[in-house]
Amino acid sequence: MSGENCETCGDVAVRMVVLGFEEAEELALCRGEDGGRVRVDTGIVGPVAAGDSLLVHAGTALARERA
Amino acid sequence: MRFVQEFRDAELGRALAADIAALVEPGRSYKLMEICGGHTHAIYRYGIDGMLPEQVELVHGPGCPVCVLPMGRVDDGIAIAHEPGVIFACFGDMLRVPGSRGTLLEAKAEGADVRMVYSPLDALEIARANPDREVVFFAIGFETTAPSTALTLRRAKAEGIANFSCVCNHVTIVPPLQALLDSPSLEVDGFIGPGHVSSVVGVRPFDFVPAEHGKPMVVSGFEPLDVLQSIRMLLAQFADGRRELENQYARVVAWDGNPRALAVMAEVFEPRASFEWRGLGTIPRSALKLSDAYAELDAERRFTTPGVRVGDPPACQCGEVLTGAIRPWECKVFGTACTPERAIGTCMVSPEGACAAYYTYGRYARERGVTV
Repeated sequence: MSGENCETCGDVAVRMVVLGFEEAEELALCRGEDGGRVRVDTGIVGPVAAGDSLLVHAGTALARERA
Repeated sequence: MRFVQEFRDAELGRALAADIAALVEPGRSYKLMEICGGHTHAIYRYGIDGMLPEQVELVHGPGCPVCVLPMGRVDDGIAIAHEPGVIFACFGDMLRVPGSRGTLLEAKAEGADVRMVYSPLDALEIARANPDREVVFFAIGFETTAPSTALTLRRAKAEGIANFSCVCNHVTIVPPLQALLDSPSLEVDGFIGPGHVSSVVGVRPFDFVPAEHGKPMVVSGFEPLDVLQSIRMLLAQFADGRRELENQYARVVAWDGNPRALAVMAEVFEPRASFEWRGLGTIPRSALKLSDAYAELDAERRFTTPGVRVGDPPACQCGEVLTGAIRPWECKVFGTACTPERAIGTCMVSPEGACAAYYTYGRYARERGVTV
């Protein structure tokens, strides 16, 4: 849940910043807007790097945000 | 934070609202449907509907996967949760969705081991930590969520985790949209298209909306300025006499979607011949099941379930809300017998549901006659 809504059941994604990346596992350690840290599956966005901004839904990175 | 604050700027919001007002043609009204529950939530949360001219009405489509799940599927999940030795993992919104004989939360109170998870990956972690238990993940969601389930199932298969399986309730957005557009009772002038679903499937699958039905669609982001800009783009199309598919959310959505996501979904899932949608009936090829290559991870093949079709409660008008035929507060049980605390209909259960979003953000202002 994110605040008062459930991002997994809605078409909602939350922004997270990549802190580290395990390439073999395709998992990134990310920090959310609330400061919490979670492991995120990067299987559909490919390799990421520290500092990348991701949109994360249900524990999976959906996209890298482009400026 | 980058990408957030610049899309919540109040001054820019007022400027967009003024642009929208200027595009309204005298004597004309506009009924725009947001397909996605996330948009419904954003519209009420940020008071976007209150910034629009009276001639622009927003109606809420079938974009909340919890809201459209029929009661029989919930009953099937509860039956599996009560199986001895099962750990039943699901997203938080599913816990309070009523089946015909209660909810998953009530099943938990009765002793079933029901656990809320944030992601399918969390459910897989529970399976790794409990090798002597059967862990069943109740997957639900549109194409936004389906890749997450698919990636997790691929991990489970690769690691040979035999005590993990999945009840697949994933649905797809194009068939119900097609069904809505084919309905002679639909009175919608244009569509605010789903943003994160489109990050997976792309914009192109929605070509048929203007091409076959003459309705404009703008795929939209979820921040307040995203939604306002999308509405402005729709009204500009009307003013110019155009009926086109446009992408407001280009910073996230590619026209052809995400090829990696589409590939893993094609590997793990295949279309069901048909699927029942609450309020919309049975729609061909509108949901996904596990492919034969993943049959050993399919909980529907591993467990026996009732599989019974259950009709909606007679008082519930979720179907009419989901098709835009009535607005949430026009349902006869809205806010009285049906509230977020004690929901009759699924539109009131999920925060992304149109009724819950309206109840939470609109009800009291409307009752007081205050413009939000």
